[in-house]
Order: sequence, then C-alpha cells, then structure tokens
Amino acid sequence: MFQMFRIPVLLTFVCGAFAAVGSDEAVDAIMKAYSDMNYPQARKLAAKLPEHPEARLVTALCDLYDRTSPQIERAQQELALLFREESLSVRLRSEAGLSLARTAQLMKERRDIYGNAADIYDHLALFREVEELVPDSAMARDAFLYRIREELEREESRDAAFDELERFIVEFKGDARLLTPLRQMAEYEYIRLRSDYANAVRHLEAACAEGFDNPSEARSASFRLAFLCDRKLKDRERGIRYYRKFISEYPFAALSIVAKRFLKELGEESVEVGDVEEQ
Amino acid sequence: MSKNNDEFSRNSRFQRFGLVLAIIFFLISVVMVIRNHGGTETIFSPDTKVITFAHWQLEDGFREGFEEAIKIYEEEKARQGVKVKVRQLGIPIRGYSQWLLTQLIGGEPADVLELTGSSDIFNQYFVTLSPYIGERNPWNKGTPLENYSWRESFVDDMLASLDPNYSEFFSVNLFMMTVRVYANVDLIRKATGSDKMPDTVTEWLEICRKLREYGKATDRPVIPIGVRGFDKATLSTLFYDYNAQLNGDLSDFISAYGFGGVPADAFEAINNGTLDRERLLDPVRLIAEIGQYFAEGFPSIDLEQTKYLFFSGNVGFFIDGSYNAWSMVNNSPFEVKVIRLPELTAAHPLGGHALGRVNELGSGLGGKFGIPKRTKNFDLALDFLRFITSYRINQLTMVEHSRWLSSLKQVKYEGFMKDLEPITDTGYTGANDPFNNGGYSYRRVLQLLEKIIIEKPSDPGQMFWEGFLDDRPILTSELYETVLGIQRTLWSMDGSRSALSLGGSNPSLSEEERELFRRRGGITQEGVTGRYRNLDDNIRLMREVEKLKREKN
Repeated sequence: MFQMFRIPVLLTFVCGAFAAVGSDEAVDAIMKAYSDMNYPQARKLAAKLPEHPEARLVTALCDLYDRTSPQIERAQQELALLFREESLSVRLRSEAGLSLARTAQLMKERRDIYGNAADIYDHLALFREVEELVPDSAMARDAFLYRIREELEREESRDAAFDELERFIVEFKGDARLLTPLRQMAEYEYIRLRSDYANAVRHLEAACAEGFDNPSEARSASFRLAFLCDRKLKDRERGIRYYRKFISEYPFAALSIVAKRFLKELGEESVEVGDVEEQ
Repeated sequence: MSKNNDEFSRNSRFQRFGLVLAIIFFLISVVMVIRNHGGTETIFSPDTKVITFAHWQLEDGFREGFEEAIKIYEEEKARQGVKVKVRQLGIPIRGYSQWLLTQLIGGEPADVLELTGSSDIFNQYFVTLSPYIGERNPWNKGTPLENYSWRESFVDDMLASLDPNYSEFFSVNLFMMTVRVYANVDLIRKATGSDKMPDTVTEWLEICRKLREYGKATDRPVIPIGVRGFDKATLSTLFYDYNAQLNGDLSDFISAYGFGGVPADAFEAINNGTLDRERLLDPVRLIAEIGQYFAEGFPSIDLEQTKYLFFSGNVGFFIDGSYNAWSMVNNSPFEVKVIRLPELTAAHPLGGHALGRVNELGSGLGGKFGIPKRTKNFDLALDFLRFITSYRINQLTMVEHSRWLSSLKQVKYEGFMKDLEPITDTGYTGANDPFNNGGYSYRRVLQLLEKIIIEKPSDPGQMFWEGFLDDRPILTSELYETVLGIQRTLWSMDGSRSALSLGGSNPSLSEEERELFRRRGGITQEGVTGRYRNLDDNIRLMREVEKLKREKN
C-alpha cells in the first residue's frame, strides 16, 4: 500500500521544497524592493504573499512611508498587530514596533494635521518595549534616541532623562559605533539645556574617537571639538592638540585656515600636513 | 475618356509623391533611431552597451570637452575589452527640470544626469553614492590624486554634495565657481589716465566716480558698475561678501554650539544687548554707497543685457561668476582684466573693523551629476561618473575646454585662470547672513536694498531695518513652513532608517554588503540631531525676530 502512495508523497515533498525555495526568493525580492525604497514594486510583490509575515510588514511600512499613497491608519493598525504577534521573529516585531512608535510620536507633534489619531498608541511605552526586545542593537539605539529627545524636552523629566542617557551609553554592549548619534544628541542637549560644555565635549570627544559614518559630520565634529575646548572650556592644551589634528586630517578644508588663525591667536606656530602626533 | 485619363494620371502622381514622402520620413526615422542608439556599430554589435549622459550646460566648450572625453573613455574601455558608446545630451535649461522629471518618472532615464530639484526627488530617484565615495577612483591612477578616496579627491571633500535633508550623497560636483569683477581696462584708462586696477573699496569707488564724470564729459552712457539686476544676483553677491568682510568674526563667538552661527544667534544677541545691531546694518550702508554707481533702472537689467552693455564698451566693472570669465575676456573687443572684489579697509569710514577678504576654499561647488536608480547600466554609469571626475579628464573638460575651475584638489592653473582661483590667504570664512533665510523673504530683502539704492535715504541702515521688520509676517510664515518641512523630513528619514535596517538584516548578505547597509543607516541617524537642531533654530528665530525693536538700543 505504501508503494502505491510512494510517488505522490515524494512529489508532494518535492513540490513543497520548491514552494519553500520559491517563497524564500519571493520574500527576498520583497525585502530588496523595500530596502531600495521602491515602494510600488515592494507593494506589488508583497501582494502576492498577503499572509506572509514579511509581506505584511513591508505592505504596512509602504503604507506608512510611501508619500505618494500613504495609508497611515491602516499601516499603524497592522504594525500594532505584528508587534504583538509573539510567533513572529524578533526582528520583524521590533521593526513594526519602532516604526509604529516613531510615526505616532511625529503625528502627535503635528496635531494640526493628524488631530488625536495617534493618541491610541503610547509611543513612549512602545519605544521602551523595543529597547527591551532587542537590547544593544541599532533598533534599541534608535528607539532610545527618539524617546530620550522627548524626555529631555520636558522640564519635569529632564534631569532623569540626562541620567538615563548616561546610563544607556555606559551600559550599551553593542557596537560602540552605534552610539555616535546618541553622543551627538548628548552634546547638543548638554549645551542647549544646561550650557554644560564639559559634558558636551566629553561626548563629542568619544564620538570622534568612535568615528562617524558621515564624513561631513566627522569633519564638522573634529573642528567643533577643537573650538569648544579652546573657546568654551578655555582648555588651551586640548584646543591646540585638536586644531593641529584637524589641520592634519583636513588640510584642504576652508576651516583649516581658520584653525591656523586660532592657533596663531593661541601663540602657536602654524602646522603643515604630517606634523601632528597621533592621538 | 481623355479627361478621365488626365485625372487618373494626376491622382497617380500625387499618390506617388505621397509614397516618396513616406519613404523619406521612414528613412530619416531609421537614421535617427540608429544615431540615438549609438550608431551602426551598436545596432550591428549587440554586445555594445550604450549609456547616455545628459545635462543643461550649453556654454562654450562644455559639450566639446565632453565629446573629447567620451572618445577617450570609449577607447580606454575598448582596451579593457568592454564595448561602450556614450551619448551626450544637452537640454536647454528652461526645459531641463520638466524633461528630467519626465525621464525619471517615465522609467527610461539617461544613465548619468545633471541634478536639479528637491531632496525628495533625489532620494526617490537617484542612487546614493555613499557606498562608493570611500573607494579610490581607479581613473586617478598615476595622478596626484591616486591615493585619495573618491570623496577626498574633491576640493571640499564632497561637502557641497551632501544632501542636508537626507544626509546622503546623491551626486558629485563637476566644477567650482568663484565671483570676480571683469574690468574694462580701456575705459578705465581713458577715464582715470591709468590702468591700475582697484584693490580696495575706496580705490574702486574713486575710479567709479571718475568713470561717471568721464561719461558726462564725453556724453557717453558710461555705467561704472554693471549688474545682474533682474535676478538680483549681483546685489546678493555684494551683500554676502561685504557682510563677511565686516562681520566674519561673529562666527568666532556668536553661537553657543561652535563656530559659525545661525540667524537666530545674531538676533538673540541684539535682543539681549550683547550685539550692536548697527554691525549688521553697516553692509547695507556700504551697498547703498556702491549702488550709486549702478545703471539707471538696474533692477530690470538681466545678465544678457549687462553682458551686451559690457561688450559695447560702456561698462567699467561687471561682477559675475568665474563661469563667464572666458566669455567676457575672449569676446570683448577691448582688454579685460579679472580682479577680485575690492577689499574694505580702514581707509573707508565703514572699514574700521573690517576683516579683509574671506577665504573661498571649498566654496562655490556646482554641476551636480548622479545616477538614477532606474539605470540599466549601473556599473558603467558609476564608472563613467568616476571617469569624468578624475584628475586628467575633469581638467580636460572643465579647465581646458570650458575654462572653468575644477572641483578637484591639486589642480594647477595657468594664465588668466589663476585670477579665478579661490582666495586662500585669509583666516576668515564667509559669515552667516542673518537677513538671508532663503525663499521669498530674502527676495524682499534684496528688493529693499534696491529701493535704498534708488531712493538714497539719509540713513540707509534704519530704512533697511524698518523694512525688514515690516516684512516679519512674511518671514515668520516662511520659517513656519520650514519647520513643517523639517518634520516631514524626519518622517522620511525614518523611512530610510527602516529600509536600511531591514535591508541590512537579510541573512544572505555578505559581510561587506551588511557593513554597507550599517554605514548608510549610520549616516541617516547621524542626521537626526542635525534636523532637531534646525527645528530648534528656526523656532528660536521666529521668537527672536518678533522681539526685535525698531528704535536703536
């Protein structure tokens, strides 16, 4: 009897395998289209696998971010469902949660357009949940970045927010390069809210050491570090060191000429490329 | 019968004529199709790839330079075993934006395109170049830029190419531009008895005075200073430059966050009494004085009219970009000298605290070229983009043919082009102009300057200040729109974050690909604080502008 069903069973397994491979390829194609921000294509491909979790996620994200045809309410409802579906991968759930929280936050900043539409989502709680779901990751970093900015804005939560910011950075076990955007935020907010240049420079120094992905930010930060040490902290030694470093790294930058002027004002000789000692 | 035969014969001739016309048009179409597809070599050689390079630069020398560069490229690629034809398309600037959008939306864009439009268009339709700018440009082998990354090979390290809204690189710049003054030496010699060019504002104004007198004495319509009035470019240039010469040192201390500063900083300092507003009005007084030597009716004179007047020999000085230098020098029937904008010194009543000329290093970059996402030949398009921004070829096209400044480092200039080189021997960069917040409100500021020049008030500074305050509602409205725009950008940036995050988590990626996604995500998130800072600065600016008082402190 088994012999009778051998071929159909074998065929079923083979078809299933092909279907699985085909499905994987289809999902890859959906993700690729989405990561290229080709929303029409991503939507089209996702529509062919409407029940697949990745397809559902990408469809919702396209509805959220495609400005040519946004469907925000529908998108956020779907993202809320995906975030709560524990059977889904952590990666998908955290992306759903982060996008939902961020867009809800931005909508609440534009009540003139969105009214109370986003009030059903506690975006701050969602950010915290994402941080706990994927600790020490880029997504946790982003959730924290978006949340802490809001906490710092509020006077009643400000002191606690500064403490939390420091704790997050110290306790972060992921790639140190991921902390750079947080350190940028820290530098800015320490100056803006407390005129605290010591802490601002501490974070800026760390960010410069950890490195920037954006070469323009790297250059701007390098000069700013020298300038803040010199002009705000009145730290002559560090100012000179960092001006020289800047000139060495960016000899053709317009600001290298300004750095040379500042060195002169500090009583230092101008430098040429190659003169600066490594840190 | 005979009549019928005649009619038949006439009809038959008419039909034959129609058939001949149809055949001719068909043949013309075939020729055009073959030509547009790269010639018969391409049609009969299916492995020849055709890429298209499109722009709006129809100035003398540009297209010719690129035809030569294209020939070199095709030969070099043939040596590498790659058959490629490059088609150059020059589209007039008036129709370029529309043409570009049609190309991008229609789905068959050229492979390398000159960019114009908003950041949103760039983000939606153009490939981000950040994955490639850290690599060396292979076409720089054997040149002084051999060991530089593609990004570092540019004179500004590609700072001007960075899109401020998406913190991304969608293009590279082909050329650099400085502002210079073109002087009619013959006319100046006749008017002053000397061909010594002015180095200071005082000397310049004295020569202008003599030019005017000469015009009256000889009954000639002499215009001491020719301007681009219609688009207000000259006024904008003068206001920016002399504000920098007078107030460049504000960058040293005005901002709490570092060097530079934003308009909100200046107005906040005026409101809290730490900055004398007269400092910001001194450039207005200087422009009002210089403006007395513009032509009557200057607001309605455009670039072509001013160039015509200059070529006719009746304009002493003409201020314009270096992209026009060769045309001005070559096409004038008299000697033309290219000089820098005169320096404000202590010899002038307003020059007591002047800082001198500002340095131009790394500024004036232009000619953005990028690759649309829908290109069918990405590798070749990227290769060609690197080729045209390589040391040898960029000099060929920009310096040798177009007589423009190159966007690259280490380029040596000779002859008259040395006069166009950026100023680098000063310690001050351009100052932030608090009255320039872009858009319509800045156009109103320039119109105010025009009015001051025409009406000659006793206190140009006060008239300007009051006019600026009268326009507060317009400025505030624009700033509010800017704030909304930044908030929209934050939303779009999260879209980028999400796309890059999901893209980078694909398990089938190589380590290199994963790192690339990580880096691009990092670039996006490093832009978030900058956006928040812009938001805060604009809100602060609205607040501080509202508090400004008409009367002096």
